[in-house]
Amino acid sequence: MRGLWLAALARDLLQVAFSGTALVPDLTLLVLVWLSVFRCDEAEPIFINAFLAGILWDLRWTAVPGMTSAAYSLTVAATAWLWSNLPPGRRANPALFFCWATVAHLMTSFFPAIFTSRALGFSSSLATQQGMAVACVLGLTALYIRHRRTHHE
Amino acid sequence: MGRTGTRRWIVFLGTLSFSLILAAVSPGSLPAEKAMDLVANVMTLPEWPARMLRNLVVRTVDLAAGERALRERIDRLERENLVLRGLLQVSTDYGTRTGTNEGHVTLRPPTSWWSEVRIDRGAREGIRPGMAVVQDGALVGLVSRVESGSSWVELVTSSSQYIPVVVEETRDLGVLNGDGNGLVWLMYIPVEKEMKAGMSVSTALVSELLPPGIPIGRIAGAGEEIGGYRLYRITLNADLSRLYKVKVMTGGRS
Repeated sequence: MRGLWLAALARDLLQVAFSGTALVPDLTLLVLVWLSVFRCDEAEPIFINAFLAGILWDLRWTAVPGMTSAAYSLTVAATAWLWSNLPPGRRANPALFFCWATVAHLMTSFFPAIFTSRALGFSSSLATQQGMAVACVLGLTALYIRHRRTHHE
Repeated sequence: MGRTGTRRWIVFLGTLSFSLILAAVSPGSLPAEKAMDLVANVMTLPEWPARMLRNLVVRTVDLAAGERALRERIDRLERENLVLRGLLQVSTDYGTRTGTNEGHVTLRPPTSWWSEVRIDRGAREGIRPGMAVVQDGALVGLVSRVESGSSWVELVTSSSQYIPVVVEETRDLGVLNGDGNGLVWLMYIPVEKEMKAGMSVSTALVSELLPPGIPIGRIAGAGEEIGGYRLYRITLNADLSRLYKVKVMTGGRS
């Protein structure tokens, strides 16, 4: 879980650095997807850590405590459920991992609109965030391929 | 479903339901705001390098564009303007240390979007409740609560914000009040005194912390009549949709 907290800290620092300029991609969520994929059979600690990381983010940045933690819990549950029900042959498919991580990131970006009366809309800053997130997911997919190969060999 | 599967479902549903309950009940509550301030204070230290880096980049860009000198000049002119407006309109002493303190907006709760923002300047920097907060010289709100390293600013669009103002062209006094949804209204103008669209509205003498004459906006149009007084809708000079950097007008006497 150290990786999760390092990602949460990195996201916070990047958000401070880019404050007023850009929204940074949700690195915490990407690490949660990674952990849920590789530890889908023992997801309980991931739920607890996802909840805590979400609450901390909400207290620091969104002012709606519970919003991000709910999104994280749903993402972990969906990812763990999906991956534990995939046939072993399909789990190694990097394209599936890439698509799922991208969709999960996109969905959680729109999640705040449910909690606020005003829809966030697809603004230019949100588009930039998604673009940067896709770049991060590509890197994560490369790690995924490497990890699969190492463990397969 | 095995025991492990059941436990996983329990943990998932527990964290999800707790999150949703928190999201439903905590926004705007005092304990939640205290927790937010605590987290902001705790994170001040680890975030310091990122903040320094951001400031360094901003300063470098400013220098490269030759904006720094211009900004200092604007700051000096704003201070002079403030003193002159005070001298023209009232005999209240706002002190010789009247000045501005620039800060960044660090939090804008989506549930109270048009009501309040938090800035990264607090008691340590001499901020006190009641001080005026401006964006490019136009009033955006008043400091409502001060922590050691941060403050909350109640915006002019807040429904609980009442600011005595003056219509510059006619010198008629009224009170500005937001509706909590982004609109601002000028109240208590007698029906017989007809205001025209485009007339400027600025702060009137209200306290020794809020200087008179800070521009707020312009009359956009007349609204309904209530008890012999007509409401007027105000277009703000400040752009509250792009509220990133603000200045707090320091000095004065509480």
